[in-house]
Amino acid sequence: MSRKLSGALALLGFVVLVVPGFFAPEFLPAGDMSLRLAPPSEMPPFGADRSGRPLLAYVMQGSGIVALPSLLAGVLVMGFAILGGLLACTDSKRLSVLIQGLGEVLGALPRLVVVLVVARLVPRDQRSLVPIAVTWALLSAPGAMDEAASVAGRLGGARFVEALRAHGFSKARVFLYHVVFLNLRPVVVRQALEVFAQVVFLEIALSYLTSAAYLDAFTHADSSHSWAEILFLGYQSLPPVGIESIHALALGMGLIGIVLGTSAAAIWAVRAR
Amino acid sequence: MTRWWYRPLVRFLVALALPIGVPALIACMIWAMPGDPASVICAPEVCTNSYDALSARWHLDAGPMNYYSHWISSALDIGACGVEEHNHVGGVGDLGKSWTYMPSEQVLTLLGDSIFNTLKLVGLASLILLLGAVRAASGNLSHLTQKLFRLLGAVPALVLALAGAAFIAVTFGSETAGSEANTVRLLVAAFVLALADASLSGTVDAVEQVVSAEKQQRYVEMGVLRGESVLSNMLPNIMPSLAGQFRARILNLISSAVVIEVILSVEGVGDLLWNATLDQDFGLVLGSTFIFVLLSSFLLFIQAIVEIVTALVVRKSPKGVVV
Repeated sequence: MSRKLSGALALLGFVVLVVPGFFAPEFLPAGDMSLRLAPPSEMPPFGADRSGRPLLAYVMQGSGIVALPSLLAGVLVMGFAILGGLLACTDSKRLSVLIQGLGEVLGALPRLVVVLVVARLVPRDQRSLVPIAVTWALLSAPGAMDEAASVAGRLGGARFVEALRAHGFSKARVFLYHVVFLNLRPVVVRQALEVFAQVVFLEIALSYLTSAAYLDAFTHADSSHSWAEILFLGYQSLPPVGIESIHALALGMGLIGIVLGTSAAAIWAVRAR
Repeated sequence: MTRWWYRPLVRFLVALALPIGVPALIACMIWAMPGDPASVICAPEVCTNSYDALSARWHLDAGPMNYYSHWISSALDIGACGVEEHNHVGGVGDLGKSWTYMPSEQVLTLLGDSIFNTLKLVGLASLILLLGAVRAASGNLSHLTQKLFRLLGAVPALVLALAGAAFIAVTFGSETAGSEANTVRLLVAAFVLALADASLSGTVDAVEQVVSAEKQQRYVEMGVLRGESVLSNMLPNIMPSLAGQFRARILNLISSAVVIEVILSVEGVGDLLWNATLDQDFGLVLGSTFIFVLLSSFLLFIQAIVEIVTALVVRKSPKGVVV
């Protein structure tokens, strides 16, 4: 697949995932019980839930829950990875010692355990995915910085910068263009996209578990509904419950597929030449 | 150049600091929440007369440092005090008591069987990773298998766990609580844990990459010409890298175990932590997190020891060289 095609697919995927969130209704529309669990043919485009409410509203609200926090997490990790790569090019031993120490501490924490603790400690009226996404990004940062630093190290580190400076390039050009854009780009973008997808899946997992326990979610207000609820409804189409909600299962899996496909297409588009 | 003992030393220090630092952080965060922590155990309007006494009894009346100092001094006395003392109310050598999930029950008692189940689950999943790594290192893993691992690794843990749960429900019907069902459940959970979040595919790819890169080194070829095995030459050099990777992977397994235990109804520490989180049981959250952090510290110790042993072996070899 060409870079342009994969880039276009990635862009399309992001539009499909992120844009609906901005137009999401604050509350789900009133249900029509005559359309209970209606398939997409009876209630286009995605069908209805147990109360006859359109699954489209769930998709839009779910998008609103995950879009900005997961993008924020991705951008944070990208920033940390760039920092790690640039530090490897400065040959600063004290800084790298400090970063190794911090990396060891953060890297040794079981991520999901920390996330659960953070989720529980966020006051009920301030529930949002943002603190969880930021925590996840911080815990992912050491790995991203390590990888970016090793790429910069393979490049030659400080010697690479020195050589380009000897050619008369400005520091800004060497660091931003040669190091970050030409060499670190594939790694930092991949790291950011991985974290983006991880945060989306984390939200789905946490909301699924709370939905399954019929409890309030950690990641959003009670008026909003996560994609996890679509998946939960769809999962009940399987034994032993076996209700007619296979369309919800297909939609939930489809949303997960779009997240994975978008990340894969974007990673392919920015791969090294 | 950094001294060889520097990295293991940092790991030892971090491994020592984590079990002390993480509970302190959680204690501070509990107090950062709006409201009095004691009100989680019993609301002031319900325990009108006994509220202050209750706060004092749970060490919640004098701020986070008071609570933490009592908690950590009890927790770190586990080994010295033995099991009998766990049942003494307010006694030392315990991880405190459950606040809300099972009020006044000792956290260590609640964690007892759960730790064993989590260790079994993570142990089985680690074994799968180890087998994958050995096959990858020996070059016995086909590209098709690796692609399959990558494909399955891209699927979120939640989806794989749901598929596993559906399989158990279909296979065992209403008898999902039987011993056979429990064994199958544990095996399915271990496979899901190993496959999800690219654990197996990441391990296989990384080991293959490290081994194939090292095999290209000239010293390995020279060793083969001297009649030595490839493995004995390579192992000391790749061991620290492999140890680091395995630590990260096992830590990832421990972390992912939370979701998988809940979905597949494995009664482990992750499941307990989840229930504690839902019930705002900070006593149990603190205890479960402490166990997870201890496991992580143990892995850091192991990695540091592997690094030290490898460094000593490398410095001792080759034997019989006269300078």
